[in-house]
Amino acid sequence: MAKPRSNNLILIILLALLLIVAFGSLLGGGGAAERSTSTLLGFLGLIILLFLFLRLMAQPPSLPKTRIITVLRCEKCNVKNIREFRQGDYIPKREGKCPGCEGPMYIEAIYPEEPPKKKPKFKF
Amino acid sequence: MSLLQQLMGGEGGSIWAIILQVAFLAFIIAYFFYGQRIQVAIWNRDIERSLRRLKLLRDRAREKAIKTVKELGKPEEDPTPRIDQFLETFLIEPVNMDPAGIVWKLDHLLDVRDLSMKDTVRRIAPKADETNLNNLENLLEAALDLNQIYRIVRHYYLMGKRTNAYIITAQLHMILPLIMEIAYAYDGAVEAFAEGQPIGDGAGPLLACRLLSGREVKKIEKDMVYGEAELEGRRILVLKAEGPGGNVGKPGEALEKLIDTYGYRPSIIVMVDAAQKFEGEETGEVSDGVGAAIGGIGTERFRIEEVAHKHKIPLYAVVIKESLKEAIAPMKKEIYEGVNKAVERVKRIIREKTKEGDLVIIAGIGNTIGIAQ
Ligand SMILES: [Zn+2]
Repeated sequence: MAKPRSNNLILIILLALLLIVAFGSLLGGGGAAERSTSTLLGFLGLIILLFLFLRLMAQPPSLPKTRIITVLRCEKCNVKNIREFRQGDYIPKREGKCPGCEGPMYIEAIYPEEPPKKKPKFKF
Repeated sequence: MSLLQQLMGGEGGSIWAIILQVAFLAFIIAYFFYGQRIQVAIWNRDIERSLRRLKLLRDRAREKAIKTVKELGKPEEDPTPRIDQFLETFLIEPVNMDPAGIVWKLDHLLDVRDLSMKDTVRRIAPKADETNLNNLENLLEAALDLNQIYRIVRHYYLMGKRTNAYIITAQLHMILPLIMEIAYAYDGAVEAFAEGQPIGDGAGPLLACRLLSGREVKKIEKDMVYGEAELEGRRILVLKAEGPGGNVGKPGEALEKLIDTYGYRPSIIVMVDAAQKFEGEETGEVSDGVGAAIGGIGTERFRIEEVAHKHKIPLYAVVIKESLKEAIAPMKKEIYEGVNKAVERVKRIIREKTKEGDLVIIAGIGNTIGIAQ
């Protein structure tokens, strides 16, 4: 989290230098080639400025709120049923009847619903 | 070329080029003399940012604790001042200059702390039932830990700044990423504790719960239960903390009681616990070994090793790997799969190390929040 900030510092210094050069040659006159160089540098500075601004404005990505799910299983026929977690749920609480065979159901697991996993790029 | 000339103050040299040159020189000289100070200032800024984040996490945990206490405990008066006092409580560890017998002293202090914490929670949340009481205690402890982290980091930050002791600032800055990781882990735990969801550390109790699968259990020692079942033709005694409230219990004392007081003579003891994985290992991997698989401050492990040694009972350990963060966050699916693998591993150990009809004690170690028996 600290890394982009130090990059920002370098960018700010670079930006200041570029602006000084650009303004300097604008005020100090000079040939056409010099003017186009400083215009180019000025544009570069503006782009960096925009980039910095966007980065400052960008909110840190908020963590997606994971849903906690409760898995119910029938004691007799192994039917699985999934619902949202409610306060008071615990493993292996007996709760409700199986929709198939009317047998008793119990809570088998309670876990956060995972977003699809990304494979790591390098495998050591 | 022209730019370079300008910078060098050559032919096209103007007043601006001179200013630039002077500024450049001034920068180099300033960096030469004040480079270290600039560096320390950057470090301090980084620490400040983390410190603000830590304060945010601490305050959030505190708010959550107050809200949950009000919801579940329905206190008559405002619990806030009492909770604030709780967040500052401490434990003074026994002196270790003469370490003989220190385990029992520490154990005693931990007992006192636990009792007094339970008592405090009962006072601030009079209407909470036993399960919620335990969960609230866990929640308050997580808030206390976050508060502690915040206070310690702030202490070293301010001290380094005030005394200009760069070494302190440097050290703090260097270990800060690790501290933040721990703080974020506690932040994740707060939610789970408030809701009473099983956490990753509950892998051991979950395995015990699977093995017991609805059999009758008896209470033994403080917050521990055990039940009898059968596995691979062997009689097994399964031990776990009493759920579904957040509890780790005292497995060492419970084992002592089973063996010394009740006179059980198991052929082997198998302990199952969640263990911190190395970086790069998969969550939910299972491995086994020898010894007492139990974390914490060490008093329980000491007891277990003592009793196993006294009666020459082989101690086997099965661990389910997870990170620190996963250990106190809601239990992941991979850990459930790990528990299934661990059951198979326990069966293999029992088949290989004992004969049919033998007695085996299996202890599921960990926080049993959200997991009953
Ligand atoms: Zn069914």
